[in-house]
Amino acid sequence: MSKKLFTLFALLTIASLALAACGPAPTATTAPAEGGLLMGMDQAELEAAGYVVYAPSEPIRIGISSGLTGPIPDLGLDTANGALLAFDDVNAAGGLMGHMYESDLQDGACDGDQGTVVGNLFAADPSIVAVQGGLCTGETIGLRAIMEEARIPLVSASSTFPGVTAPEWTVMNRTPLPDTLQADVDAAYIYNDLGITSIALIHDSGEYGLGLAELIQGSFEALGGTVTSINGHQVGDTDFRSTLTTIGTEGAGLIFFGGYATEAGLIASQMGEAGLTDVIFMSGDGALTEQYIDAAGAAAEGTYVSTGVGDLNVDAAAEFDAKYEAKFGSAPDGPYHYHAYDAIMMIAAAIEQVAQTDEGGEGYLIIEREALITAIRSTSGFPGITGTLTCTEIGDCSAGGIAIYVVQDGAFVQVSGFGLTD
Amino acid sequence: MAFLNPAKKTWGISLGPSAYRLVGLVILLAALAWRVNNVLSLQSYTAQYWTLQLINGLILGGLYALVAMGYTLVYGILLMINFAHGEVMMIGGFAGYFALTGFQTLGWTNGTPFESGLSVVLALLVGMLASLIAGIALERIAYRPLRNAPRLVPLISAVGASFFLQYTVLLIFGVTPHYYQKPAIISSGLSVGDTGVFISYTGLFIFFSSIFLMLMLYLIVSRSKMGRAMRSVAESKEISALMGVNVDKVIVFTFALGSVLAGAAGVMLGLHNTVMKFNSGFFPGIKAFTAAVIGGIGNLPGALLGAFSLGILEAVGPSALGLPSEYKDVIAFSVLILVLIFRPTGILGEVLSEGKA
Amino acid sequence: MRTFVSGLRPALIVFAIVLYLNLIGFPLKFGSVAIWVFAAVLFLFSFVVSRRAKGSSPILAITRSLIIGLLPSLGLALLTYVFALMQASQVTVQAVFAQILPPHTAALTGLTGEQVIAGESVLPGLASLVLILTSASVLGGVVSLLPYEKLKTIHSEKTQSLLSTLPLLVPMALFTAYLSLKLPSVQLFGSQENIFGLLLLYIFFGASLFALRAIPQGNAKTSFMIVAMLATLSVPLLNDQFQNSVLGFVVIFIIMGIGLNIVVGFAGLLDLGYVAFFAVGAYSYALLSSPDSWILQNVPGFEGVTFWAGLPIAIVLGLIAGILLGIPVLRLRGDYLAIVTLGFGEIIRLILLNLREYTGGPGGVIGVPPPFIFDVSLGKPRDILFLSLALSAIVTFIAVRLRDSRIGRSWVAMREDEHVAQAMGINLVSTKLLAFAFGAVFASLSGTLYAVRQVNIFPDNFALDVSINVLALIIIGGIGSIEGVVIGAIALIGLPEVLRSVNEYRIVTFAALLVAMMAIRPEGLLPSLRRKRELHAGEQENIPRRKKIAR
Repeated sequence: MSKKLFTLFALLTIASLALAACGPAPTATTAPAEGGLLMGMDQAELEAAGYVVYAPSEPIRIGISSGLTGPIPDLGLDTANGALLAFDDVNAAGGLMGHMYESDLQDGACDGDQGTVVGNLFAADPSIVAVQGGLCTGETIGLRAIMEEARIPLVSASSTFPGVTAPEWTVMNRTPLPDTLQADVDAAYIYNDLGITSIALIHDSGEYGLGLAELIQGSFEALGGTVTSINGHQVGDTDFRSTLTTIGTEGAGLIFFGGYATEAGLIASQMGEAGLTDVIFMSGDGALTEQYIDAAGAAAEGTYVSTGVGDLNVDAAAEFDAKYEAKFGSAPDGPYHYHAYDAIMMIAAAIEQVAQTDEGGEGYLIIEREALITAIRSTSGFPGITGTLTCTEIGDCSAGGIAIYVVQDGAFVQVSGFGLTD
Repeated sequence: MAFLNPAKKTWGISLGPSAYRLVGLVILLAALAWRVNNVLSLQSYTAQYWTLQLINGLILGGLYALVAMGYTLVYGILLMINFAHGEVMMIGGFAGYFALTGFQTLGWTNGTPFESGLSVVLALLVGMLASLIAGIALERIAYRPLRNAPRLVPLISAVGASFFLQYTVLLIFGVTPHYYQKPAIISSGLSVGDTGVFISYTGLFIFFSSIFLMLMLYLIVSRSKMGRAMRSVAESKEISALMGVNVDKVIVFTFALGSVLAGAAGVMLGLHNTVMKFNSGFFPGIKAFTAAVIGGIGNLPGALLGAFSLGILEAVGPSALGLPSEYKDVIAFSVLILVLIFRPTGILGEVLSEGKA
Repeated sequence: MRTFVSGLRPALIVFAIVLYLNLIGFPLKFGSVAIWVFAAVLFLFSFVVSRRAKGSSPILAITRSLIIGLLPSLGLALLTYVFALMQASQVTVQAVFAQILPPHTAALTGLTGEQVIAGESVLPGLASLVLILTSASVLGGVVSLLPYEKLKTIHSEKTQSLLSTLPLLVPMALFTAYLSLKLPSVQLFGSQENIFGLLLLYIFFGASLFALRAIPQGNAKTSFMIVAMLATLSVPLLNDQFQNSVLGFVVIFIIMGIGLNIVVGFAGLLDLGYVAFFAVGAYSYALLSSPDSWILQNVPGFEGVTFWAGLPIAIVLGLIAGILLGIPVLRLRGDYLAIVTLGFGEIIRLILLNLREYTGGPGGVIGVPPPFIFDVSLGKPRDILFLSLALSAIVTFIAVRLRDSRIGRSWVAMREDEHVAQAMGINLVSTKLLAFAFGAVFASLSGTLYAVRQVNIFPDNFALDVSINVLALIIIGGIGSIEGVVIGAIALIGLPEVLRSVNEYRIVTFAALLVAMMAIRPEGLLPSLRRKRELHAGEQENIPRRKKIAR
């Protein structure tokens, strides 16, 4: 054992330790020689003061957190793809003042655990100016706390759980409609239009599914209807016959399911086997995909699915669909890809509003975080695919209303709700 | 296979005199009876209702039984939990799906009854073949190198293999679930007179084929030469090898048997519940393993008994106890724990001998 | 002919590997880089096969490597050709193979996706693909013929003594590299810098633990320990938020691993439902402190407990849960115990999920407050990492003392043979219950830390995979070994975060490593010395035994 060598290295390590400990103090790195970038501050000072600074031709980075693994990877991929498509479009339009937009897609795995990890990853990266995401409620809630602390604006395209946006969360915004409205509209449709006074509820024990089912219960009972039972399953369950048999004894006229497409389709297809041939099936936005029709097969005919639609810009949506299919090889399938696209576009528009150049005119792009948060929150009249978006003071930026579809000949046909012209 | 060998007596530690346990059991049963009685006096379920739930339970039990037998076979021979067995089933289910989709483009599934029936049988065979290949590859790659390692090592390898298979399927075949289209011949069901009792053909199919395959398995294990070799390897690998049994071959055969059953279960699960995705095997696998343990793992009739009791409990339990359906898994696992507290080796289980504890 | 046959088997295996990588979408994800990945696989494979078949003539070896290269690449080319034809005639291959999109085919053939759809000929691209892959394999065969045996004999005394300092130098070099990443003038890897730094840290921790094993007792070891300790303590200060948050998670799992190590490693009780105690710890603190919880909203005048009061409460509740769950399973052994504990774990999760009124159901408990020291919040990832490090030090100390105490020896005796242990006067009931209780207390402790780290907890965070992860980490590290827990936690919990850039392949890579690891090194990375002796008993005992007979 050569002791000298060891001592040398030990000293070296300690020395560099000391160096590094004092190191991260704000020393000028890439700042121009005189004057500073903005208000006499250089890059490090600006970053410490709550600005994002991009060097000339450095891309503007927006994080995306979506559940690429976890219980609903298909919805996660579809939503993320919608967001990615927006990057192509803003860059094709020339980016912003010589800076292109760049995405940083991370897997939030649809749970709070990974949401926290992804949140910290984004918060640690000074070049992330905004984040789109949180596929699932848990993931969004995990992200939200960290983004709030790091002052990074967050726009979710799929968290419809009512409690996600609240006055105390200044960075949190979303583009879809909250479930409260959906529950009210659905309950009214069941009670008034279908004339059914007693329903049974099934949920998938997830925040979204259970939340929607409980909201429906509240709205429906407020209208004077009765809810015969609430039964839970889990995402991934495939056999619902036993539950359906029990519901069959309760005399409910309609079964409402809060959850995602696969389970919804399987329930619809198994209702016949359990003898519930004259009971109507209805589900919420989580089930509005082609997959639902695949899963339910012939049993899908005559079932209802509701969703929050924007005031859909039909031309823009068709253009989006074509681009999507060209880029990803399959048609978009899911309720949130337009919302994700709009979320990125909305962020980009807000960035354009608040971005500044450096005083020396060298091509730096400087964005004040607080200004961006305010700009996103005060979005008004933004023309998106899902309609003209205007954010409320708590960050609900959705447009449009709830539409109710019935499945006819293997396709969703709108029968009621927002946007129906008759 | 333990069920043919007389049980051996060994010591075990007991928690106080067995009289206490007996008293506990009586109190528990009384409490359950009281609860069930209370619920039933409030709810008026008809006999038709119970029949329907019983049928649901028997079908579920049939599926569990097919998978549980694979667990029990491997456990009986190697004393290891093959955690990836559920994934072997899932692979069979996927193969069956692709076969059926192929037959559908040929127009067989909705063609004449013969064509439609043939497509079901062929899909079943394709699924069994795919599972067979997967099971043998699994044994060769993940388990054989660990034959003499401590007990926990193959368990972890199996967990790794389970995740590997799940996410390989996810990557290769995509995230979208694959939905079976039931062939015309089994798409409807059987109405029993005018009692309102309805049994789907897929359900009947599952129930009877699980009984049939179980009988075949029993015959193989108890009558064939290979079965004798399996029983001897289950007793002692070393002595079997000395007596001229090719232990490796027997183990591969065991895996093959279990996997073929799992493949059949995978296709039947797909036909019955009409969906197959990358993690479709995991939870049914855990449930089937639970069933095997309730019956007494390493014991074939035990696996069948455990599977049917678990299936029926899951179907009937929630409404008998007046709980919503989300408690069905709680009921299943509670029963597992209770059975093992009062019979630590399962209902029909052997008393653990020294080497197997 | 014999060459052909001897090359056939490896050719088939390597074809399977390349086919696998192809089907899971390497070319789609990495573009034409995938070709070089395939080439590297072929090169390595043919190199290894040639090296293994010692003593064959050069011509034989090169012919074999030619077969190993040619067959798989022709197979791949044929498949790609078929896919290209199908794509050109608008058949959607991705209905079956989700990754086989036109850009995938294009990446392998040097075209663009549009050209593939337009039906442009892929044959020139495929010819060059076959050429590249085959030459890589032949190159591997040629390189394998170099005289490596001579290298081994070069070791002089000087190089030998230099080699012996390696265990010391490697960790320090790694740490220096990590530090240099933090210097403001170093700008490597762009936004990946913190991920790379994390990787360096992992290897540093791992190498330090190996060094502690490798260095003989003495001054060098003591000083190394001090330097390594200082370096470790400086890490939370140097790290950024992401790195600290990941390391905090790793340390939480280290604490759990140490707890489960007592149950499984020391006492030999296979517990697959360990997450139950983790959940007890997390939920008991969360329900007693979060303004969102049922208790705070329904008990008038109760303002919630602080972390310092909540921690002991959680520990006591964990202890009670451990004993309560321990009593019914006292009579069970081996795999029966495993499945029953698994059932317990699931029951706890389902109850948290379904008793919505009290636990918040799937909505979980939101806003768990951080610990405070005189009004200073310790909620930042850095503070939580420090807190976890301190608690893990205490836990490690307790575990080491327990292992070496009378009760530790009773656990080992019980693990080896219950009957003999009982005959020797060990009270099996209390010994087993103590193991469960200590395991539960440690898990409960880490659950409390987890609740603080997460701020919001949901029942889904307490699923079966946590139990499996913890079990896998103690086995990967080396069962019964405390250093092993650290390595295992880094490998199992930390490494996946480093693999983020290959999101899709994270879990398959990890799972394949797990299987390979069990085959290659079943005793774990850093086995307890006792365990290592047991596992290699057959190999090492041969010689001494013969000596004995000779005597």
